[in-house]
Amino acid sequence: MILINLLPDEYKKQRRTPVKLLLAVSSGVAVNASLIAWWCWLAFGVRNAAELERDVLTETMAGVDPQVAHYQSLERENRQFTSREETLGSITQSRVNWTRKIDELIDVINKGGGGKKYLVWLDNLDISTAVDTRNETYGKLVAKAHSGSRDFAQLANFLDDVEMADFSRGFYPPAPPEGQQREPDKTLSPSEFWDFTLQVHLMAPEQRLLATAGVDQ
Amino acid sequence: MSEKKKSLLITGIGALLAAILGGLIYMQHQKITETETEIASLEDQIAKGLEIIAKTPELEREVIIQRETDEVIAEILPDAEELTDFVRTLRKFEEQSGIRITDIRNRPGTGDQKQDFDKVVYSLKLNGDAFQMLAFFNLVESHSRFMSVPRIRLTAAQRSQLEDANAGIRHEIDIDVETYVYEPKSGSTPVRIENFEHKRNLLLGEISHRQQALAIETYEYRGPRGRRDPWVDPRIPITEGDSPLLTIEEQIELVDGMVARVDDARRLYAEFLAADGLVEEMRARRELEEALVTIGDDILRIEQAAQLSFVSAELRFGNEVVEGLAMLRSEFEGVSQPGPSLEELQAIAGSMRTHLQLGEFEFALGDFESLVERLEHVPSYDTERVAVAEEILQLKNAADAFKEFEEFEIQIDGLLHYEGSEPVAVINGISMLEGEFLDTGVLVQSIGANEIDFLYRGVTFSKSLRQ
Repeated sequence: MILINLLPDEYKKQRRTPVKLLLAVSSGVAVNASLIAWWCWLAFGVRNAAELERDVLTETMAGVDPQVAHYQSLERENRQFTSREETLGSITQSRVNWTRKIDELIDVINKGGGGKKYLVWLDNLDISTAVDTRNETYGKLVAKAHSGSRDFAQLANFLDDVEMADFSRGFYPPAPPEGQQREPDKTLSPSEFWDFTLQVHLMAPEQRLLATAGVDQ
Repeated sequence: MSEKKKSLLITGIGALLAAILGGLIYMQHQKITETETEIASLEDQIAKGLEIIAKTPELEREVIIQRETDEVIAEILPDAEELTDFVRTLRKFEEQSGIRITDIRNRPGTGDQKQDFDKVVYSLKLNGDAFQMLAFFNLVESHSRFMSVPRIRLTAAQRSQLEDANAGIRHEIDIDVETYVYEPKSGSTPVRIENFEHKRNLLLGEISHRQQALAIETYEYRGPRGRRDPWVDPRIPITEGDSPLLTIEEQIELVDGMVARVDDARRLYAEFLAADGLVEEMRARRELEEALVTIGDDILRIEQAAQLSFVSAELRFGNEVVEGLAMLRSEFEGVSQPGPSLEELQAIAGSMRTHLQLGEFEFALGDFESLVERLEHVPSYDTERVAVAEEILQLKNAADAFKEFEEFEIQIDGLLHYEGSEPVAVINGISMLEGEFLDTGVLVQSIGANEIDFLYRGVTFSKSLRQ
């Protein structure tokens, strides 16, 4: 049906916006306005602050990085030096001062009093410092020796003195005395003598250091 | 458009807008979350970095010390250029020690290379006695450049070689001498440290301590010190004949006795120095001078008789008796009056007279030698000492004359006395009269019934028929 309103304006009824439409529009505007506000807060507030903080930290890091690199370079240099020192230490510790050892051995041999306690002389000397870590051997000193007396106890006297002397520091104790009496030589005095072997084994370098530390003190 | 459609349209547009805004908001959230993640990571890195930086001063300190210590390592170990001096160094050691190097070879690397250190080994063959060997080892092991002797093989000299006194003791010694060459392979440019010099100066104490810890142990080798070479058979040959050698024990006892006498003389010297008063000083001086003379005589006697053949006894005799007496004499002369005292001169003169009467001109000359240098210090105003000194010189002349006269061959074959004519002596087959000279410059002073007096250098010697 077509409705034509011929009434003059002053008599026409006033027509208002429907409530549903109003509500719909209001709600839409409110929600979107809130969303826009939220977005603005995030974009211009929170995010800016976060980026600013990030920039500050990045600058701080830029200052820390070179110092860390400096430390790492020092560490590399330190490792090289430490390695060299340790290598040099192992080289020097493994050395035996044979001047001292042989000098001390000569002291012991001369202590015999020309035969009152013992009269010992040597035919040779064989010293080796070859290391065999599997068998835990670090070198040895061997000498073919003679005791100028018929009395075998003099040999024991000599080995006792060897064991008590400074010479034996750094060595394991010598083997118990054993020897062989030789045919007397009537052209020499004393004519009777014994053959025996003086043999002592070196301790490991660390043990030698401890053993000789007391002597130097 | 109807109201409903309008509503729907508006609602749709509103929803679409809301969705778009929601999307934008979500994207912002994402970005913010990423940024916050970055922030957390940066904070973590910065915290770790600061922890590391806090340790930098300690590490710098350690590196400074190690750099200074590395210089010590470079001093201890030679570099490749200095290795060429190694052989010259060994040659210098040879001269200083007295040992003789007969063979020297460079041994190829054993493969035992330690990082920046390359091992260098030389094999040497040496000849010498035990003490020369020790002197050589000591030079090697105490050298400022690190060297070691890891292998030694010694074969003692044969007894037959030792009997040649001129040859000396020559053991055969075979050794290895090794060192390490320091060539840093893993090197890098040293890190720059702020105020390095200042920081290093603050650490001088610690640096010195660390350098000392790297120092190589050295040993003070003090030489033979009167000891025998243990690689020489000390037994003495048993000889047949008039004067059998003393046994080793007897020789040791003899030397012990002489050492005790020198010690007694030292005690007398101490008493002389501590003497309270002139009388006591003179008594102590006299006793000391007598002791010095008699010990000197006995030393000569022992040396003449070659009673000492045991090496240890011989060495101890030389060091503690002969040298001990010489030192004591020298000290005594330093504190006593210039020149020998009257008592000492008289003691020497008496000893020389006795020796000459016994025909021991060598002992008489030995007595003279003991004060010849001091005789010139006898002051001329001291007439008593001058007189005795002159007598000593005459006795010395007589001893010289005696020594030379003994060497002349003078054989008296006959003496002829005829009444009314001069006596004739047949000397070395030649007839001689009194007053004639032999071809040696000896004067036939007088010809007696059974003997002839000869005059030589102012001294009269008597020889009998067939002497």
